[in-house]
Amino acid sequence: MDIFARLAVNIIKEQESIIGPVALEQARKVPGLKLDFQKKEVAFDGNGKEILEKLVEQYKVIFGQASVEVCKDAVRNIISEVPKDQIPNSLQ
Amino acid sequence: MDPTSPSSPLKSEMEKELAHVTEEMYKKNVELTERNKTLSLLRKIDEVVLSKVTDIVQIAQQVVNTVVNELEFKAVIILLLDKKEKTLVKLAVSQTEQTIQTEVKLNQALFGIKIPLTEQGNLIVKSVNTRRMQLTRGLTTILVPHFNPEQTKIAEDTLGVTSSFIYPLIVRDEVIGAMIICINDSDGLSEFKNDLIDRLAGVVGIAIDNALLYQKIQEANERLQQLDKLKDEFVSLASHELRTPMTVIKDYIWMLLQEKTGPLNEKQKQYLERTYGSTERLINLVNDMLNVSRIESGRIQLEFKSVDILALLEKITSEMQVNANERSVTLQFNKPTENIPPVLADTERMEQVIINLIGNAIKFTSEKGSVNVTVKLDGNFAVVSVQDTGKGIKKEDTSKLFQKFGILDPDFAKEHNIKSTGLGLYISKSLVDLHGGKIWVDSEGENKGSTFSFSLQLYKQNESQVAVPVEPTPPGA
Repeated sequence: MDIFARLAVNIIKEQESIIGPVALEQARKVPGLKLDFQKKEVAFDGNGKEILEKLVEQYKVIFGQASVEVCKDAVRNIISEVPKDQIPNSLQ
Repeated sequence: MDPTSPSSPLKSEMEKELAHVTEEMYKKNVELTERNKTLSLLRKIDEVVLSKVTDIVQIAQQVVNTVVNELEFKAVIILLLDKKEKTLVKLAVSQTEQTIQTEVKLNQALFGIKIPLTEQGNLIVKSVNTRRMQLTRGLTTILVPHFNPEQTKIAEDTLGVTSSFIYPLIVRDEVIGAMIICINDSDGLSEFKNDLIDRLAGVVGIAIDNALLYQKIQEANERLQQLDKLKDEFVSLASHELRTPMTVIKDYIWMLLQEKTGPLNEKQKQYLERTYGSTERLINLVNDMLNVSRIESGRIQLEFKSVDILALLEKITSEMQVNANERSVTLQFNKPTENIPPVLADTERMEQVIINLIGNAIKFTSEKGSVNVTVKLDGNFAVVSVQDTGKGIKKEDTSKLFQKFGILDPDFAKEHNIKSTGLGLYISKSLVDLHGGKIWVDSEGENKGSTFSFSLQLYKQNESQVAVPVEPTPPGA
């Protein structure tokens, strides 16, 4: 799986553990993010960095800064695999 | 102004409040999720500790693997303190792709890690000696002197370790080892993991200590079983070795007493009779000890079959009339009026029990006294009772009777020339137990006689011929 897809899966999974199905509902509202969460798969229709940024923003609008910290924690182990200039600002 | 209009200050205020409430609830949910994760990990460790696995190495291995898998740590190592050798010895290293790769690159050296407590430059030794957690970058101060800097670098790179926490494992104020948690914190460490790392040492310490204690108990148990076996073998061998010469001595004394080698004067006869009696007592003791040894080591073989208990009681009471007459005691078998079906028993062993009970009753009954033998039905059991008008037993002494060497009144035995090994009732109880029955005694007190009873399962055709130990409810017991 593409690294951006893995980041998105990790973020959604972590959010799901906190807020339940609302995490999936909110992720589905992100333009360009296609979700088949039963298979734990996501696909991007567009720029991965921008779509991830929007995903983090989607949670932040409703749940505030704490949700951004959760997103950062969720990708902490694999973020080093993303080139520095490709890391979304909110996850830096 | 309409309070629902988008520009209404009230609506804006409500939206702010709602956003605030949502954010606070989210934070609480984050806390709950982290606690859930902690509990989930602790539960998994508990499952390992409480599982059927009792081997300490396997338990430690499962614990470190669980911790690494759940928390995505780079490696977890548990070292056990060998107090004798004053060395920290590897108990478990988490098995991940990276640790296995490291092991291959370092020629199997990581899994065999051993650190002497004298190695002052090693941070694990420092942690154990100071009983404090140590934090270090990389692995250098952990692997010294086991690995040189080059090997350490290979380990750090392959494992992807940037920092290591070293915790002494302390249980009941005693250091039992150390745990090393290797992580990659180049992107920071979540609060949840930070908090959990702190708690892990305690939990893992208890898990390892439990496994250690279990192992020690198991070893002690095995040792005891070996000693018990040795004791049984010794008793069995010694008894056999004693019985043969004793029997020869007894036979020769008998021949002398029969004056086969010439007439004896009164003094000689008296001495030889005493010797004969003592030899007989010794042989009885050896036989009883052999019986006890066979029963306790499980070597006794019982042949269960249908036994006519009435015929058996009649035969034994008839044979024991001589003993009763010698002591001027009346021995009677009161045949029941009801039909008593056969019982499931080993004839020879059952005979041994009945002879023991009747023999005891005769021995402990004064002249002109009586011994009555009865049998009756009680559900699926036949209950045999031997009632005497003898010395009786104090209530507090009844429980001691069926123990080994449980002679209650040695003075009385001496006074009435009663020869007893103190093993008869113990053997009888063991044999009745093996028959799935129960043995007990009733006595109204001293000088009021006593009644010894035991129950035996009735024989049922087409059923298993093996007596299963059960708990019958003996009447009056």
